[in-house]
Amino acid sequence: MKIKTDLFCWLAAVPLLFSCTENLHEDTPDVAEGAAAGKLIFSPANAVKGSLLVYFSEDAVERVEKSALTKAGGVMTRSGIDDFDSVLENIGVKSLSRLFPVDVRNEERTRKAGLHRWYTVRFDEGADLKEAALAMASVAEVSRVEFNQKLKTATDLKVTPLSESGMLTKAASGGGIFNDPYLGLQWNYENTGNTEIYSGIKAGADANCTQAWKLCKGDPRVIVAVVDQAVQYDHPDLAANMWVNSGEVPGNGTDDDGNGMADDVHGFNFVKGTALVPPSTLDASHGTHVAGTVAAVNNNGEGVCGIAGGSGSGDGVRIMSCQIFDGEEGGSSDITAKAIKYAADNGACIIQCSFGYDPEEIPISSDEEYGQSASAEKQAIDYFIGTKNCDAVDGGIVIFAAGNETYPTSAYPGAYKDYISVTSMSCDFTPAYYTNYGPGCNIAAPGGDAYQSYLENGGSGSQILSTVAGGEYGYFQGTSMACPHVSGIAALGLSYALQTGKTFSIQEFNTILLTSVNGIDRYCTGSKQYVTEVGSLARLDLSAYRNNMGTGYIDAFQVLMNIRGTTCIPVGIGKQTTIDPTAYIGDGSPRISVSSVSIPQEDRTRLGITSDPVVFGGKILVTCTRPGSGMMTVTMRAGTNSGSGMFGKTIEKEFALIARESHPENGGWL
Amino acid sequence: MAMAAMTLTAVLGCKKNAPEFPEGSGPVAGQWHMVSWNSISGGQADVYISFDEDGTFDLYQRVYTVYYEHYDGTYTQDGAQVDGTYSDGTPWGCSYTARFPEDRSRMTLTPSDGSGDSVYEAVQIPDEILSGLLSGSKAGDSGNSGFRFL
Repeated sequence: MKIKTDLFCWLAAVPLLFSCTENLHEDTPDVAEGAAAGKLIFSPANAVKGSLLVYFSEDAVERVEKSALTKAGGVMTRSGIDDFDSVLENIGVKSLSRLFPVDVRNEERTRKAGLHRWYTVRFDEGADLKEAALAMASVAEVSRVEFNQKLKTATDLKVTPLSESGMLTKAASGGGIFNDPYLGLQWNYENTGNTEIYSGIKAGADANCTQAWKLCKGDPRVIVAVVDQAVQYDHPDLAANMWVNSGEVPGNGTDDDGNGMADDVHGFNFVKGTALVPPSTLDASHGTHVAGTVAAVNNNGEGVCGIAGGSGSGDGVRIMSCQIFDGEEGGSSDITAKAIKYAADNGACIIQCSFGYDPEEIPISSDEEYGQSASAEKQAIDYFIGTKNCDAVDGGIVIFAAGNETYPTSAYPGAYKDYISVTSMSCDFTPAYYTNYGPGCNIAAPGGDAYQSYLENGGSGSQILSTVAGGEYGYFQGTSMACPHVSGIAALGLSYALQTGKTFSIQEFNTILLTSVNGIDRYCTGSKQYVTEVGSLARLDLSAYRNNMGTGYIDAFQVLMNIRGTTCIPVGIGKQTTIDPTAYIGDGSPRISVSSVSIPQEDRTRLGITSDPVVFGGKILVTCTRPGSGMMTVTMRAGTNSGSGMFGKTIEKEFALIARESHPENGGWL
Repeated sequence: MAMAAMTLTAVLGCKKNAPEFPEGSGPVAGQWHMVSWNSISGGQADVYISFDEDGTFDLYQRVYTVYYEHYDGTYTQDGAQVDGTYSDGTPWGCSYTARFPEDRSRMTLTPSDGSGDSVYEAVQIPDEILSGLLSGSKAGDSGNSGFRFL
């Protein structure tokens, strides 16, 4: 088939073709090209060749669907829209297929969300991507054309097996709460200051899991989708916590439950469109490592612990493996979008996403730019957020890694205001040498820093230990490893909410996550040693990270306690009270800025508040004239504002005001 | 005179063994859980108090922090009026008048500062509160202990 790559030929033909349609355009070729360019999402740089995603108009998609119906089996290569089919012919079309396969159980919701309008066009890889995209976008019935961008994992994929890590196998620690033999090496859960790992290690530089585990260990009603490489679902330390699709018969090659995927027992390989195959090689361990941090089986006398891995009695949260990377393949927008929609349709309430766009290769610089793109992947994430799969929260929680380029902004999609972007902390509280930071970053978590132990003792202990492929254990570092700490803690929090009968909106739950933190800025000072890409020793100025790592580093126990209830703030009567809300958040030193405050009229009346509370100098000024209590909602920005469109995450937190004549100075209630 | 002295001793002795309380009042000794104060619910402020008969008290509260805090000290009861001091020397914010229904299933404390009654239920304070499971900040992260030498 002849492949046209001459844009001008198409554009010259397009006005003629348009004359037969309702949407008559009389534009010159330049104007038409400009209009078409306005429909493009992203750019051809770093995009998959021979593939474009097309979003048809509402009317047009009906014609495309009718055309598909007339195609009895085989591969669909025509849309039923003449203009578009001309383009398809010119680029050597191989297939035209719905991006999101029909899931009979969720088709109505899918259509309501407009996801049925996305189609994947596969064509000859020799065709010029940009010209093909512009030609498609020039068709009136096409609303948007998306370059199929490649995403990448937020780690360097260099795993060190435990056996080669230089670390001795320690006896279990963690307050003796679990019997997993390697728990003592998981400083990221409870850092006791073991200087055998690194002489500069600091006790407390961890996610505070042990204290949280005394309250809750997980709940199988919570499903976390690990959108990543395949999880080794038969790993002895993961198998018991894998999600099982009860509607699917393994290995029969049939889509038994009608969700569009055959043999999707523990998830699906969206790269190849096949059932999962457990990875067996170390270089395919990323998804397995991430899954282990979320929910490796606890207290099974085996290997490591996971944050929400249960007590060893089948009560851990469940891991759904949504494979978007397969060797050198995958990681594109279409695959990612499909995987995320699958997670929504099959019960996940958290998506754990340790990947993102390279901020240097795909320089999205603002939420507006990302939001307006309305890409297939963003629409899929929106669909996930709008899907309630857990009784404790009214939608989906989205957690991304910030990226590992030492870049002064978070990578997208994580940077977007509706998602949580996670930066990486070392075992001494300092920012990891590779972590992205700055605007778009929302919260920090342990992600490890290889050079701390490596430069000192040649070991790997300062990285993160978890499950790896082949039924083994190993060390990774990266914001990829920090991210599942937040996902795991979110899963633990939802488990606790289910067990205590608490319910939250997505906004409320995200606020709990981002305000359950300890301050990290006081550790962003001085410098630390690392090795550059060319292998030379260098020092990293840590002051650049101050105010840029998100609200602070996450604390699992605080999350559970914030789920239990609201924090109160004491105010006097008959005099103006100055309130610093951050003093009542986390350890009192989060990186959060107050935007506005509101108190319902009913509560104002009760407290005798006659003038509006105001925000001044980052603090709230309020005057109560009567004793009593009332709720105050504070709108805050979690993380750093770039001033140019990356606004961090806006959160709203409720506090209860306690107005009394006499507040004991020591904070006692009586 | 001797007769009067004997009578007084008897009265005082009697009072020591069985103090007199105004109608509707009684000793606060026992374990209590605050169920209401103004519009505050347990999800906002959670307060448990144990008044011991020896004049000491233990207070467990999640009010101004995300964690449960423990306070203790001593209290005195004079009729219905209860006053106290924390063990760090801080006096209570005000004194309280204690009232009870006949079955003592509840206790209402009316503060002298006029900030409104608080109602407590008689409970056994849960182990998770008493044990400190829900209290305290994380280990190893207090004050400046995490600062590094430059």
